[in-house]
Amino acid sequence: MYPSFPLSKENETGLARIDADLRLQDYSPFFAQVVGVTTPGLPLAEVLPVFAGVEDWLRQMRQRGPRIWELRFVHHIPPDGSEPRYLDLSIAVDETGEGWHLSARDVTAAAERLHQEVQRFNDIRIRGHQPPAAHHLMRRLGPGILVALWEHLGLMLAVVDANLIIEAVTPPTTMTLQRPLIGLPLTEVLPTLAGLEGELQRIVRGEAAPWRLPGLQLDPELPQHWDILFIPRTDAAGLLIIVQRTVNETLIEQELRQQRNELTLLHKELEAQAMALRTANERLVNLDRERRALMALIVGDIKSALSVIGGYSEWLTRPASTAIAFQQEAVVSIREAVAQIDRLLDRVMTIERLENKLVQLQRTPCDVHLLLEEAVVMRQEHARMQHLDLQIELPERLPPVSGDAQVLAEGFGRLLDYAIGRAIPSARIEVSSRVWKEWVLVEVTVGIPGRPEQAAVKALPSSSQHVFELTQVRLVVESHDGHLALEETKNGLQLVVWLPLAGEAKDRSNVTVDRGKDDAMGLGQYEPLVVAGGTLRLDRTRRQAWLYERPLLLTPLEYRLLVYLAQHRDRVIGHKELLAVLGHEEGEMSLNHLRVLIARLRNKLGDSEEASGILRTVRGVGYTLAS
Amino acid sequence: MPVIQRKICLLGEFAVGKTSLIRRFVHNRFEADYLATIGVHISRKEVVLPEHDTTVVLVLWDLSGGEMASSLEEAYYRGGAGALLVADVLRPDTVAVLNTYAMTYTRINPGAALVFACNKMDLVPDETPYRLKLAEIAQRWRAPFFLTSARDGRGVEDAFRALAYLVARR
Repeated sequence: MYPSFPLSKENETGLARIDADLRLQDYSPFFAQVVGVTTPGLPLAEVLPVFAGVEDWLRQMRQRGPRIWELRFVHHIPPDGSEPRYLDLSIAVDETGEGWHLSARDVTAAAERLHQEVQRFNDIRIRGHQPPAAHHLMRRLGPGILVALWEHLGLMLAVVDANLIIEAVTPPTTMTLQRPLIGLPLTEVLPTLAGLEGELQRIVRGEAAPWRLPGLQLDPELPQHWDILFIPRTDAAGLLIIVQRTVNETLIEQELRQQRNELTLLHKELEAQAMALRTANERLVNLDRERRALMALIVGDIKSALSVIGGYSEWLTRPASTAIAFQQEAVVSIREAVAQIDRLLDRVMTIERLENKLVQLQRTPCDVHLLLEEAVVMRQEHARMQHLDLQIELPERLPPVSGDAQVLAEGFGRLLDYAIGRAIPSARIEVSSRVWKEWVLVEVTVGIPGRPEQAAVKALPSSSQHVFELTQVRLVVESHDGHLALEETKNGLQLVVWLPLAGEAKDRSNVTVDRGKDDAMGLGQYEPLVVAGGTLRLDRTRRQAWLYERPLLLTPLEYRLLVYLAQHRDRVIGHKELLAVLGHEEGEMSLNHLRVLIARLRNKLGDSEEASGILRTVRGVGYTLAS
Repeated sequence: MPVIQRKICLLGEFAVGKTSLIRRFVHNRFEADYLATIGVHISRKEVVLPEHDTTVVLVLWDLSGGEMASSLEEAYYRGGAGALLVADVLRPDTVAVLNTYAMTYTRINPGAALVFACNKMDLVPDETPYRLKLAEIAQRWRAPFFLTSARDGRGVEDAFRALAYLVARR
């Protein structure tokens, strides 16, 4: 049994000897098992058909070489009818030079594994219709290079023809975009490239250099960015396109550039605002300087006029002044001095009006509704601890008032603190608000419902914190051209704050006020009023007033002053309130002008300040019409 | 009538239809499923050539296509009398590379007979452009060319008979 033939080191390799006639001479048992033969002497071409038709070639091996011929993965159908298999065959000229040694090794398992890989790879390439460029690349670098490019380098490849129609893509590209791409125009697959066809065609024609487009978003619905490289094909007209995910550094750089741009814009905006503030501040400083200088001049002039008046008044009281000529001279001088004072007061009024307008310009509309609600909500718990019922009732919408929201909020807070501090346990504090003429009224009422006979407020020590609170509220309110009224009734306390409407709301209110001014004041046409023991009667149609049945010759402003005092004769009217009421149509009015006006009205009423008759002065507060 | 055996290699890129052509020629059948060929599959077919008073047994070597064969091609090509070089009509690149296959094959087997075939013609409506393209490369090798379809059988018998005729003359 095959004694002279060297056995293979690998026991799965079968060995056989072939004689000079190309017949099977003898063989190892394993060869019979691998090849599937049992009979010696068979022609080699019948045992292994792969050697059919090449007999001349085998014989040539003996003279010209090569001495050995190896064939891998030969598909073999055994003559004994067993299962087909794959063999690695090796035939070599033997030591005599006449015959051959033949080895056969069963590599079916390896062939099946290889077959699966090739099948998978070929399937991929068939779907992609691998283009020549990629094909040659693969021939040089071996199969799977495209998959490796994707897996290890994140590269996608695509090949387009001269018309920018996709001929082939690497499988990952198709998988990433989840749609078949072969045969589609490049710009349809990548809408980002639309409009660049001309430039791409120039690269195809070799008129432009290869092009790298960094950070492109291939699909608007996908967030990733890609770097794309367009290279002209060498095998045909077209482009090889290499796509790679944009590295993080590029994204970070883009983000930083974006942030830098935003900061630059913000910086420019802040610079513009700062410049505007500097300009406004300079204007304010200049205005203030001019105002101070002007006021100093005016005060000097007024003092001068007053000294003239004082001098002549003193001189008139002397016996020597009884001469008519001297008296006439004194009267003329005094009249001139008074006229001078009037003119100076007008200038003061003008300055004040301008200042007030400036202040108004610096104010913004404030939402009273919101400020009150916040003030109440913040004090609900505190009121509950004091056994107080703090309620708020507001209309759905209040027009805005002119002022500083933060200052107003502080004022409302102090107002409520004052009310809470004054209220006795079980009292009810009602906060309400409404529109009255060009004002928004905020009313805080402290009382005990159903128990009118019992006062709901504590006695007020003169040095208590409550006085401080109310003073602070008054300061806040008056700083907003508003005013505050405090009324202690038998049953409790009522605080009313007037705040001027802002801007447009104020204009709308004026229309309403003008339409029925006197009606709004609540006076009847001939309603008689009893004042200081006499009867004051006002005729709103003819704007005529009678006192003790004696007609009064009043200017329109004096008439309005008298009507307002009569309508609110049950309380003291503050200076600010009167200034606001009277100064609305005539322009802003100063306190000095008001005093002059009061003095004239009092003169026409036949009244005098010293006598404290009809029109009484409450020092530090305002005026009231005596009933 | 003498009988001669000749080794014939089918060359070409993967999935151009080499196995299908052999299956059509040898067994006269067609299977649409693609199954890649590994190594070499051997088939035989007798072709009677009355004009030569010869029967040629074509030993058909169905080789794996594409780069899989590249490293082993020399071993597979040895002793070949002729080759059928096959391209896919839908893949122009498979036509262009036939020249490379022909050069390698004739280097190993000088004087071997060559026949060119453009397969899958049943998939294109007009054969004219492909005929011109294949004619260009075949003319370079002074070889006949055929437009074939393993699916409907057109040109298959003619291609193999032409190859048998050529190898019988050698």
